[in-house]
Amino acid sequence: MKKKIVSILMASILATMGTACGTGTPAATDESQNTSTTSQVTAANDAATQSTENVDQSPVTLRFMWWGGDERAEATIAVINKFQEKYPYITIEPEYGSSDGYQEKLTAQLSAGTEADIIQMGVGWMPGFVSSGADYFEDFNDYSDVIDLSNFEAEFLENNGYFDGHQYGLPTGLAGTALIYNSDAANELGIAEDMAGDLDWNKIVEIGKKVHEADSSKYLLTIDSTMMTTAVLRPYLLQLTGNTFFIDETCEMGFTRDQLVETLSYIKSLYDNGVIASASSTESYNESLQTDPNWINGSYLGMFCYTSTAEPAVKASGLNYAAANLPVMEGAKDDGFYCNCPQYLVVSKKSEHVKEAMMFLDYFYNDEEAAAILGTVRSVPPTSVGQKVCAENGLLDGIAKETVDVCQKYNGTYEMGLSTEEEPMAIMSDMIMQVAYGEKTPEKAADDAIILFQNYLDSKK
Amino acid sequence: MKNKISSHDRRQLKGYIYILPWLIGFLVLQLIPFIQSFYYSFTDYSIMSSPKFSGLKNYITLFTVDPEFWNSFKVTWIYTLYTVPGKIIMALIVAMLMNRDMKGINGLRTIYYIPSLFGGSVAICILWRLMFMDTGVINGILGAFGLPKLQWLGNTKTALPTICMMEIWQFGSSMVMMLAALKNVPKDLYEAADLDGAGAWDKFKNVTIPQISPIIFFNVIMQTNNALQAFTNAFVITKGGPLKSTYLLGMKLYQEAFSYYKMGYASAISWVIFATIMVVTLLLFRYSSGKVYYSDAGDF
Repeated sequence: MKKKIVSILMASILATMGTACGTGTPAATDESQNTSTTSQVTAANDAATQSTENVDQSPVTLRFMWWGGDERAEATIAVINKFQEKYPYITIEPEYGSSDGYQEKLTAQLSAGTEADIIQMGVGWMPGFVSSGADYFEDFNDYSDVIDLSNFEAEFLENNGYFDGHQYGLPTGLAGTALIYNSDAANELGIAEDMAGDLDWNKIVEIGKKVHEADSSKYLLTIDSTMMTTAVLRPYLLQLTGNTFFIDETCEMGFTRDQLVETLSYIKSLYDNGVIASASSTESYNESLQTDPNWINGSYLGMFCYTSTAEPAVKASGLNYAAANLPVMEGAKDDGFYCNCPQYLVVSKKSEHVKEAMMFLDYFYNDEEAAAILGTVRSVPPTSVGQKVCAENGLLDGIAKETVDVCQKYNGTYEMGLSTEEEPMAIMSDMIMQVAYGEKTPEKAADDAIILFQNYLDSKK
Repeated sequence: MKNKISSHDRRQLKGYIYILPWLIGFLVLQLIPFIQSFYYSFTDYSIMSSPKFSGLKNYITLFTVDPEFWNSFKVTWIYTLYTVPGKIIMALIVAMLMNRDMKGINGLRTIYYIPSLFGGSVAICILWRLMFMDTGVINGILGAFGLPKLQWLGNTKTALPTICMMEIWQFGSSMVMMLAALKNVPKDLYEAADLDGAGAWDKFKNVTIPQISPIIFFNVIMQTNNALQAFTNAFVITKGGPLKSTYLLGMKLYQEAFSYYKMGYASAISWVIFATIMVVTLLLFRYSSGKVYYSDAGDF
């Protein structure tokens, strides 16, 4: 009997150890496989390096980690190669892959101290890393002799990457929420004038009903649960209450139960009135709506997306699109929408070559050659140099620029912080989906979610 | 005598050197983290700061506050109850079909074993996802037969069975074991049954099943343990959705640890999984007594 118990115990221990291997390790391995491409270009000395004659030029190797598609990877590697030609003693190893698992990998690296020297950082994650008090990142202001920040608009820089008096991150572009629509179909259905004018939330429902009544296979909008949180739930509540979703200073919710119920009831009305197709039909395409055949064939007339994803969405469909104004309710206490950036670039405090990392970022942001190569791969550039070069090259004429122009008209309260961390975002998304699938009423979904929000806020006190 | 002892010691030392790489790996990568995770399960540990002892807080939150835990527990059990019998029955059926002498049988056996080689890999999960998308090949086939298309991955009722189907599809390893067991069933038992006038079903029930019961039991234990720890399929194919209908405990553990940075809480979840596996294994051993036939050693 004893032997039997011991053998059961051992079997269980080994099986559970398998869990550890089965959960963490493979994901980490897959990600590392995704991001292990390395480029090491060494070229002849350039005249530009003469300015660094007095600097120690012993070989330096930096790691630069980012996520993104092929176009971004090719442009970034090309810029790295150009930089290495200018500074042959500096080698930059690119580590890139998909956004899937990026945050998890980065978190593990930061806690283990194995992160890259230069890191592309999610805007929503940064407040959590900074508030942990672990002092992970360098302050760009401490290196003003190496990196020139004067090409950024000061206010934009202060709103993006500036935490507790430190410029820990540099924005990679101008971005925000976008609403794009098929302008040809809008003309055909007689809604072009409505879509081109000022929009409020109710007007969207009215237009959506008109579209669906005219053709039951067509819907005004497509949106996934992530975007529903960013483009509808939070802006709607911000406009209604004038508060961010969570008030960071007090660790309280910025809304009442009734206000949350009202917002969820509005979201429910989008589905009930055929403004948006059923959640079950779009859920499979969460975070990649442009691959949905109904988007490609034009059954969905419009899409809530990010300014940085507007162009791929338009390209996927191949139809003619325009940027609509973003909805603002009558008597709104806040614009609800704002222009920020798609991501930051940060430099790790553990880097042994911070100065060289800053030199690279100076080239990345301020050099015309680099700006020409990078174009709009990280949205419309945030620097005057980048914007000038892109404009000269005709890169700022499309939907990306159009949506950024619209976005810049709104001055909503910036809400990066507790409201944008992963855990509450997941609760918001689940709450919306419970209503969208009809599993819960707005009242029940709000009540259940408020308990979870409170638990989350309590853990942050 | 002295020489004899030192030769014995040398042999022992050699043995230890041989197992040293495994031993170091086991201690450093498995046993120490395993013990550490037990300690962390009683702490608030956010990965970015030092662990702070919090007593039973994580376990109390898990069992009394967090509704997601009970949902994940339920989903994991449904997954286990679908996949373990499904996989074993499929393995047994195919093994019986493969247990005959015919031309090309080895090729067929290999074909049925292949899914197990690929099983659980991310690439296969992505392929499975594409197959079951609204515009995937499965709906294409349904459409070709005039059947209505299903939202396999978008519907809360079909998402979990879709994930389970992938797991069941990987029955190859179990099939190989069943096949080996079937080949070891003494022919004279079937001949005796024939003489007694037993039909095919009687022979299957009274000869085949008892004779291969140790292998069936072994598979039940291993498949149950694996199913209770499942992660990859749900993570890649549905990300736990829709509406958490495929949110397995393994996924919850991963999300709490690496998305929300709650290492202490995630450790508590892993220990609950461990305890569940231990209890289930114990119960399976207890209730198998007298039902599993060992020709050489009686009951297990």
